Amino acid sequence: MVKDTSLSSRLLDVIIFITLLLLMIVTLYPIIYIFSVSVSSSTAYEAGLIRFLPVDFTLSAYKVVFTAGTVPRSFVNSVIYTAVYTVVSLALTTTMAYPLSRSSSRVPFKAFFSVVVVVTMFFNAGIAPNYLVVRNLGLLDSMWALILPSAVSTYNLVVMRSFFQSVPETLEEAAFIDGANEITIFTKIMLPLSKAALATVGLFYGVYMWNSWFSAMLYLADSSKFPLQLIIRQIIMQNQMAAELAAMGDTSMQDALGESVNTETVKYATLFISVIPMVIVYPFIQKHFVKGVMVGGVKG
Amino acid sequence: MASKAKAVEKKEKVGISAWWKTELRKAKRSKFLLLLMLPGFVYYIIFHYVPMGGLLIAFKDFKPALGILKSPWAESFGFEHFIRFLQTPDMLNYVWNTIALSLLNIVWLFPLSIILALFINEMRSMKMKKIVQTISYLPHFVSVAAIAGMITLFLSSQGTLASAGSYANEGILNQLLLKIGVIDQGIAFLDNPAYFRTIYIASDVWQGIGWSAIVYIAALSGVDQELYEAATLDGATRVQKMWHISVQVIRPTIVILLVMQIGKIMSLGSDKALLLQRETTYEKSQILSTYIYSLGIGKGEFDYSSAVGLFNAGINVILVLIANFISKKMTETSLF
Repeated sequence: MVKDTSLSSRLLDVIIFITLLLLMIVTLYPIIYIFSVSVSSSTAYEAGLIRFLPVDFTLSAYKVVFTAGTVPRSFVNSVIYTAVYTVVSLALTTTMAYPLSRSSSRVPFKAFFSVVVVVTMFFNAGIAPNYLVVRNLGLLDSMWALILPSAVSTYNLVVMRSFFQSVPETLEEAAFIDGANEITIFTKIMLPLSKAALATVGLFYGVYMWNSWFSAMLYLADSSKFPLQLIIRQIIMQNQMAAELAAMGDTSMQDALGESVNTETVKYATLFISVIPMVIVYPFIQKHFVKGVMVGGVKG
Repeated sequence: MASKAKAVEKKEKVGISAWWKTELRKAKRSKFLLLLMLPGFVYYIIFHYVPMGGLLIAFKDFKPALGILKSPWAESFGFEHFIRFLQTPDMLNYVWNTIALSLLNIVWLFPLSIILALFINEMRSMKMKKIVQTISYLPHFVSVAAIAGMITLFLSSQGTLASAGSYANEGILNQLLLKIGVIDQGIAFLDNPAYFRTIYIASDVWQGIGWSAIVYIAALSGVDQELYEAATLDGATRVQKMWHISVQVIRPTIVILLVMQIGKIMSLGSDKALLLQRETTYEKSQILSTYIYSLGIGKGEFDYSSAVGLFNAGINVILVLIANFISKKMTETSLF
C-alpha cells in the first residue's frame, strides 16, 4: 500500500491513537481498580488514597470472603450449574439443530419443527406465565429451575444449524452408499466434524449461565443454592456483608485476623472474585465467540 | 422466487393428505431423525408453548386455588386487566422510560461503535489492532450483576462531608470530587433520578462498544485494498477515504442493525434496570419490564402482570414486523 505521509494523515494517526488509548484505559481501569482496592488495607481506602495501584498490600479482605461469607459455596454452585447447564443445553441444541439442517427430503415434518422453533424468536410469554409453569412442574428452589427453562437458546440453535449446513450433503450421500445409516452418520461423521462448533456453542451457554442471576432470584429461595452472581447482588447492592459480619461477631473477626477489615474492601474482593474467571478465560474464548456471532448474523 | 412459488402451488394441488403421506413415509424411513428432535421439541412445548397457552391468565380473574383454566373470566369481557393498565396514571411514564433508554442506547452506542470500527480499521499495525480489539471485547464477558456492583461501589455515598477527611463510605467518584473540591458533600448518584439514564447508558456503552463494533470490522476487512489505493492515487485524503469507501461499505449493515434496534425499542429487558433502580428513582427507572416484574412476582398479581406483558409483547411483534418490512424495502436484506 502506498504510504500516506501527509500532515493530515499523521494527525489522523495521532487522533486515532489517543482515542483508542483512552478507550483501553476506560475499559481496563475499573477492573484494575477493583483489584487494587481488594488487596489494599481498609485504612488506605478510607483515607481515599487508592487511585490505581494497591496501597498497603494485604489479603485480609480475601481471608474474610473465603472463611466467613457465602461466597465459596455460591462459587461452587455456579460452577456446578454452569457445567450441568452447558452439557444439557448442548445435547438438546445439537440433537434438534442437526435434523433441521438436513434437506427436507430426508427430515419428516421439517417445516413444522422449524416453525415451532422460529416463533419463539419473536414471541415470549413473559415472566408470570413462565414462572407458573416452573412452579407447577415443582421445580421451584431446585437447580433445574435455572437450567431447564432456558435450556435451548433459539439463537444458538440457529448458529449450530448453520455449522451443520456447511457440511456438504455429498459426504453423507457417499456414506449412505457405503451402507451407513442415519445413526452412524450422525455419531461417526457429523459430530466429530463439528467439534469446533460444539465448543463455540458450548462456550455461549457456559458464559450465559455463569453470568446469569435473574432466574436464580426468580426461582430460588434457599440462599445456600444461590449462584455467585446473586450473592454479589446481595452483598453489594443490599449491603448484606455488614449484617453477615455483625452476625458472626465483628470483634471475633478482628481478633482472628489481627486487624480490622472494612466491609467495603470485602465487597471489592467479592466483586473481583466474580469477574476474574471471565477475565482469565475470555482471551481464549473470544475468538470462538466472534466466529459464532458472524455465523449467527448471517441469518437470524 | 419463481420456483418457490411454483413449489407452493404444486403442494396445494396435491393437497394436505398427500403431503401428510409423504411426511409419514419419511418418518418411517428416518425414525432416528425424529427421535433426535424429540427432546428439543418437548422442551419447546413445555417451556415456550405451554406458557403461551398460560397467557390465557391475562383474561382471567386468577384464583391460585382454581388454576388458570377454572378461574373465572375477568370483567369487561376478560379485558379488565388491560383496561386497568391503560388507566394506570403512570402507564405512559413507564412506556416513555422504556423508549427513552432504548433510544439513548441507540443514539450513543451506534455511532460510537461505528467510529471505533473505523478507527480500528485505520490502524496500521496488525499487532496493535489485535490487542485493541481483544481488550475492547472484555466488558462483554462481565456479568450485568458485576457491572451493577461496580457502579454501586464506584458511585456510592453516605453524604460524607469533605471536611471529615474519612471517605470510608464514599465510592471513587465521590472521593475524587471531594478531594478536588468540586463538591463539599458526597452525592448519592444512584438515589437521584436525574442521574439514572446517564449511568444506565454510560455502562451500556462501556460494556457494548467493542462487541458492537465486531460486525463493522468484519465488513471492513472484506474491502478490496485496491479501492483505497485507487482513491489515494486520485488524491483522496484518509478522512475522505474513510467517508467515501469505509462508511459506504458498512452502510447496509448499519441500516439493517439500526432498523432492527428500533424494532426492539419497547422490549428492553429488566435485568440491568432492576439492579440499578432504587425506589427513589422510580420516576425514571421504572420501565415496562420492571413494572411487570414488580407486580407479577413481587406482588403476586399474575393475571394483571401477564396482561401488561401480553400488551407489550403484542406491540413488540408489530414493531419488529414493521422494522423487518422497512429493512427489506431499503436494503433488500431482512431478518426473515
